[in-house]
Amino acid sequence: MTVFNLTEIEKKAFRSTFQDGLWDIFLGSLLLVLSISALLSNIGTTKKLHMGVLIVLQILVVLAFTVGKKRITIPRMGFVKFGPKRKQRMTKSRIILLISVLLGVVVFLIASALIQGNPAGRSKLLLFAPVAWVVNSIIVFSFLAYYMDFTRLYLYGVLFALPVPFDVAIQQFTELNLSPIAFAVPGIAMLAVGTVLLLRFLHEYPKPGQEVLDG
Amino acid sequence: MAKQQIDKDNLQPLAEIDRVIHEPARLLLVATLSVVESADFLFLMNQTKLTRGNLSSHLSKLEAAGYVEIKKEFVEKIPRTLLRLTDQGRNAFMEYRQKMQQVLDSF
Repeated sequence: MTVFNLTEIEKKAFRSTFQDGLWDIFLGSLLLVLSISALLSNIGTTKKLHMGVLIVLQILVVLAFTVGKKRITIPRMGFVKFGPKRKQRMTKSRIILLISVLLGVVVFLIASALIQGNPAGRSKLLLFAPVAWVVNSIIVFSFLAYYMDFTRLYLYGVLFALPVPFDVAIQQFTELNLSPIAFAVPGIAMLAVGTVLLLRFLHEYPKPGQEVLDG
Repeated sequence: MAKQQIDKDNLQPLAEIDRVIHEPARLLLVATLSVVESADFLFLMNQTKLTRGNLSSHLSKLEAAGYVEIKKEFVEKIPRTLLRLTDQGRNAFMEYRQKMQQVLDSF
């Protein structure tokens, strides 16, 4: 029997920092950015333009997330520095994210090489891209969910994984290009969850008065 | 007589319990601070659901006992009261847990 479960107290304190819904909004927005990029590609804009829009919007989403944490969450919830064990887990999460991004770039380069001047390459890509996307999404989100003690990320891993195989299957069987919708639907779902959580957070944690800041 | 001696032995750790930590609100504060490196006044207020006055008074008692270090600073012109469990506070909390464990195990 233990008198105090300090691990649970630490987990509870850490999880409380996810009550603001900003992670949900951040991940949903990333999917919406992919949807916008796919839409631009569908309406025939140049590859340079839709890739440029993709990169710029992704940078904006990351910046908005960082500013949101600093300007919305910390002033209402308070500032906390977690212990070395938690820091280690967060470092592992960042390494996993970095590996995932690098893997994404490698997959993109391989995919581009498969398509370029090789009509047969496209059919290989039809199998390779969705499998790589699904495996990467599920593995990365599961590790992140585990290391961050953030259970919603397991579900978001599935929502991130689904659009590409769904889109490829639809294109195979109906020749319809529904990429923008395939990315937008899970993106909007995450955004909706995040918005509800954010509104609840703003209601539950109003900005404190000067006397609280002074301690 | 022998039974009385056993009871006395079992309850001995209870008499040695640190009363500064044993108070429920302060226990909650020390337990929360023990799992983080440092936290500000607002974070502790939100985690423990104590009122500002209550929290302030308990923190003063913990500071007087040398268990908590209170540091006031300004971050982008906004005041922040940063709190940290001292090494003495951490040791006292560990000792408190061990003694409580002994007491509860003996029941």
